[in-house]
Amino acid sequence: MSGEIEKIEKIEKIEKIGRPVLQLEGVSRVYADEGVPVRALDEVTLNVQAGEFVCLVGPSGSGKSTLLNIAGGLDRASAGRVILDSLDITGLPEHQLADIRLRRIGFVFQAFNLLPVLSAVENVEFMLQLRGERDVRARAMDMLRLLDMSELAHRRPAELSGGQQQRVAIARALVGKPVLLLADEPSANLDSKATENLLSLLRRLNDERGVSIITATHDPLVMRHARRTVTLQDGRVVLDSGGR
Amino acid sequence: MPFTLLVRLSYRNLFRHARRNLILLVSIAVAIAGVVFLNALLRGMQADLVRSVRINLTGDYRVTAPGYLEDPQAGRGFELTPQQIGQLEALWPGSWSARLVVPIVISSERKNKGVLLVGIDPVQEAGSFFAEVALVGETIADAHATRLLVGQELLTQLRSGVGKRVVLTGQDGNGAAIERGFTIGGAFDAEGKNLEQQFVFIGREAMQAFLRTRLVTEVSILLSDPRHDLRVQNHLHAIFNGLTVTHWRDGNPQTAALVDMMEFATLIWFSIVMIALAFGLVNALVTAVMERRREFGIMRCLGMQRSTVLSQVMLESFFIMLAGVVLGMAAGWAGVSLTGGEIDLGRFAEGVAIAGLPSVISLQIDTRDLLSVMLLSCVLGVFASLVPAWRANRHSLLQAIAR
Repeated sequence: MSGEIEKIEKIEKIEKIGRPVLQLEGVSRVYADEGVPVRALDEVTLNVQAGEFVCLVGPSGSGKSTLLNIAGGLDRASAGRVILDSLDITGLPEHQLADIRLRRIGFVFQAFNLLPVLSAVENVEFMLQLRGERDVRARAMDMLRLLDMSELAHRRPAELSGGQQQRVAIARALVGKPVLLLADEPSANLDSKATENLLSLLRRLNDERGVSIITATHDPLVMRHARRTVTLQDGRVVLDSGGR
Repeated sequence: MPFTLLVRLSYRNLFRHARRNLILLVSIAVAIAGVVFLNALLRGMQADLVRSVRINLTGDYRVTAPGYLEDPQAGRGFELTPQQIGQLEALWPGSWSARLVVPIVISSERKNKGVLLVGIDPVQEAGSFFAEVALVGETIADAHATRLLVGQELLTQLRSGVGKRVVLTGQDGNGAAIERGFTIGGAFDAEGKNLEQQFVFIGREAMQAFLRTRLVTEVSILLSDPRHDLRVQNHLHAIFNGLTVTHWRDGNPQTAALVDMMEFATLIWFSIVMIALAFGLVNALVTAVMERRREFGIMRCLGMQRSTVLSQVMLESFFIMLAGVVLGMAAGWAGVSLTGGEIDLGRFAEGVAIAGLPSVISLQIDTRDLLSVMLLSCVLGVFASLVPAWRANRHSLLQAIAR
């Protein structure tokens, strides 16, 4: 049975690779800071293909998080177009964006952001339940098993280490098979060993399952694991190491 | 909507700030217990008031001849046929009585007073106050009894006594003046002096003979439920074609108004308590929601709709309210049970007599009241949670998840 699943996942991976998963076309984001306009993103154009592992780097305030927020439908572009998995999400209303975040995007946050009243497995189930899917417990446990967290499945977040919480967060992000995994400073609250484990895991998911990943980071360790590095400065892409 | 997920989140969040929620729960429970107890007291007073009217020869429904209520005379009566008796007995066995009631003047050697002379068949009076009075001397044994049963207060006013003679003066069935001497066979002591001054009892057939009539002036039906039932009224109209059928509320508008006022007072009291509770609930929930602003933001980031976040906050509020209401009702119920179902107002006997209430007030818990309190409380809890729910949702996603 698991052999069959692996076979299907490999076919899915082959089908996905090379397909554009995220297209930013001249995207700008201007904030008003006490009446003064601040250009966080300035006509950024970026294409990410399925199966890519992209690392956004740059100094603080360069626009990395803003780019991730816009790509994930958490924020809106002031100008330009955002196309996610062939769907133009630029002008979609909030309830449709919420649905896209639920079904097409996986988020991994710097602070893990697990729901404290739910156990690890319930946090993973959360996404599937929101989607109204069935067999949620079995699927959540499968995902935790993949991330070597099945033995801690019934612990609450407060009973887990930072690295373990981040694994649960990744399991939550991936359980619904999103087209894109967005990770904002995923190693910021982890020690070097936990960071190394996390990156090996992301790399494995990218290699074996073809999960498309975009991560924003300051961490050189993370940069080393990424296949493509995009450097931002003052809201503009100043360097792109290119695709696979 | 992922209802099981919302229930799980709401339920778990209740235990997250256990002490704060416990205080809120106790506040709700105390308020609800107060509402239940006061409701039971008001319901008891209402029931006592209504019962005292209904058993004072009014019954629930009264059948009279047209014009009798405006000008009660022996001539304004009706003859009760065997067929009507059969129908009454078939529909309300043992719950009806036929009486002859006319105003009359009773005179002793020293005083005279206007009273209502009531001709009864004591077998039919099991439900009226007649069956409950304390007696001195003899009672009305049957419908042929010619010796009078007079109230203690009236006896005092007439300066007469049991075994003495009085003269009754009035009009017979044809409107002719009539006068005759009777012996006082017994005296009754009723709840409230009005009854003792107002009524003089005699056997119905003896009274018909005295007034030279075969008529009765009223048929009274006393049922178990004092509420107006159109079907009963229609049955009575069918049995007594052409006669007047009145409900006790029609004949006692002041009591009916008082009963309605009590109902309204209950509602006002309940509203005040609930509004106070709503403020407490809103305050506690707003605090809880503000503390979890980031958490709600995360849930929305992950794809939860605003409406689902709103539902979750409302569900939490509903759970707290429901738990508080159930606890409060149990406490209120226990409080009523501890009193043994009645409060003795013997120390305020004069006051309650003036108010027309018995000295012992019963406490009555009405299941419909409990259900209304439960329903309204939960609805109010949900409405009260709209403010915190709105606050949980009003921030933009980036504001909500910002540290």
